[in-house]
Amino acid sequence: MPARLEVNVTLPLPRFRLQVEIATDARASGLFGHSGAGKSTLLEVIAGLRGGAQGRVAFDGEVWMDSAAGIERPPEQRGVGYMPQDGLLFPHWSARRNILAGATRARADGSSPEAGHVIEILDLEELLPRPAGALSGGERQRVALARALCSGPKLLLLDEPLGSIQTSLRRRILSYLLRAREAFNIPAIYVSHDATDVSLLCDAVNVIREGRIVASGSPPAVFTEPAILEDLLDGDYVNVLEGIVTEASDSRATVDLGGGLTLTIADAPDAARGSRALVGVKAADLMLAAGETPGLSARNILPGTILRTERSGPRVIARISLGGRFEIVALVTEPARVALGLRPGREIQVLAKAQSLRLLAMR
Amino acid sequence: MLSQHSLQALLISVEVALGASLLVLPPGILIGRLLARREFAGKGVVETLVSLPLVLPASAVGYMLLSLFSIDGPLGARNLGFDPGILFTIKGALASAAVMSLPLVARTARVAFEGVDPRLEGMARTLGLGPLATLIRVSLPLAARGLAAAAIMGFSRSLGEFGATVIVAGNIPGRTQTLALAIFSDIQSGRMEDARGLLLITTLLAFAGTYITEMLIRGSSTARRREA
Repeated sequence: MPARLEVNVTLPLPRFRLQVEIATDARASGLFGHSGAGKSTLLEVIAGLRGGAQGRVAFDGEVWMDSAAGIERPPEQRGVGYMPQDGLLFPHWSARRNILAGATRARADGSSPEAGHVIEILDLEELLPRPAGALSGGERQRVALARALCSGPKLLLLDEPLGSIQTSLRRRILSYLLRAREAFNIPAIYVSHDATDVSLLCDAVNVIREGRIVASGSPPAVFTEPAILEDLLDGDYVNVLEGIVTEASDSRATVDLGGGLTLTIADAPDAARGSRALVGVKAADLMLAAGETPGLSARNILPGTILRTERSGPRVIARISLGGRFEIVALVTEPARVALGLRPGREIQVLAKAQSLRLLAMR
Repeated sequence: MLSQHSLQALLISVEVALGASLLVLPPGILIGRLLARREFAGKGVVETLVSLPLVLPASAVGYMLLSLFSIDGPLGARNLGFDPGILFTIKGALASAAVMSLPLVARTARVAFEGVDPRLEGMARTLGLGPLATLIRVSLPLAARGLAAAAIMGFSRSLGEFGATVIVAGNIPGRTQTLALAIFSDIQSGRMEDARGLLLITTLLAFAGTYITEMLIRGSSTARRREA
């Protein structure tokens, strides 16, 4: 049975009151919100690093905090693997000593990932002798992740694991996070202000705004709710599709989604044939066509069926099934919906330029 | 170059200063840690009490110690049931130097601990390290330069201690007469040659101590800036 995290806490903060109720047994659960929404604070309450909160925190049947019963387990007895936004490596130690900082507890526990395995999965071998101060931003994040994994955690708390990393490195770190998720299967809470990262990494998400949870559910369902969608970056949602790279040349790549569906990506220099790829495409970048459309430059034309449509301000959120295998969302205008007669069950073509597809991560 | 009694004063001074700084370091670190990391009722009073010897006349502190260790005093022979042998011995010089240097040591230690990011200590806790292991493996090493500066500060301050020492330990050549006391005695008896020699030595020692302290403190703050 999957371990269940139950959080029901209140904590007064300078600008608002953190008042959160979360119950999740997702293997990877996202905590999404803009900066200053209370995400990191909530993570610190769960880790036991923030005093003054009222309420209850329990994980896998263990009560970590219960202010009514006067229970406040110190952080060292909670068994969390905490990875703060800035990595927070011990500056007086080498990468190796940092990674092994929690190894004593891991050994006492017995069940946790073995350090050698973590080092291998995260490609850390050559970094080990380096002092913490001599690591780059991306390397620091990897070492911090390894340190959390090697401490025998029952629950990983990852605060913006991609937050402070420049764009070119994100894809690599994301791949490492996906590998770690796959290899070690430890329940995790990911804090992020990036909906796409949450879509990629999490099975479930809670959206936090001004200290309160305003939506929860699966990432695609939550992020395409009108009230949440309007609040995303550019008011746009990034669909995530997973497939296998079948061709990679000239920095172009072809990804087989299965069921006869393939995607062509214009700019995917690090795609490797045979590996699994996560591809992103913005909902507003998708075009819909009512019938055959010969003579178009768009390289991606996929047959789909409208599941339902929903108004969101001036726009229409169209949920589309691709051959029953994937569900994606396209944003169109109301006149377009009327002109195309978009209603549940309508067969349509989904069009995307190869340049509008992005390779988000490899695994 | 140095007369017999000057050399003796130098040796006694070094012995006293070493002993006093070692004696004062554990409580100094403890108080510094407490003031840097804990909020408690009456913290302001504790801060003031700790700093008091900085501003009180040393002779007043000496008189307090004298009363404390006198035969009928709270820590006197009658109360303890044995003679602690503080008054007019080298132990008295040591106690005076320790009390007088405690404020500097505690304040420097406090600054050293305040320079350690408390989030690093929290991080260590999440990794399964208890409060003591966190202190030993994270806080102390990260504060090490500042704490070394505190120790040297304590040593240097002890070398120069005069007012309390002369009251508690007396000014007995070869037994309790430190550099500071010897300079006083030399001037009183017109032994200007000896006084000048001792002046040179104390200046050199004080310069070295202060210089090293400055370097340690500056080093730890640049290291911190580099991290940030």
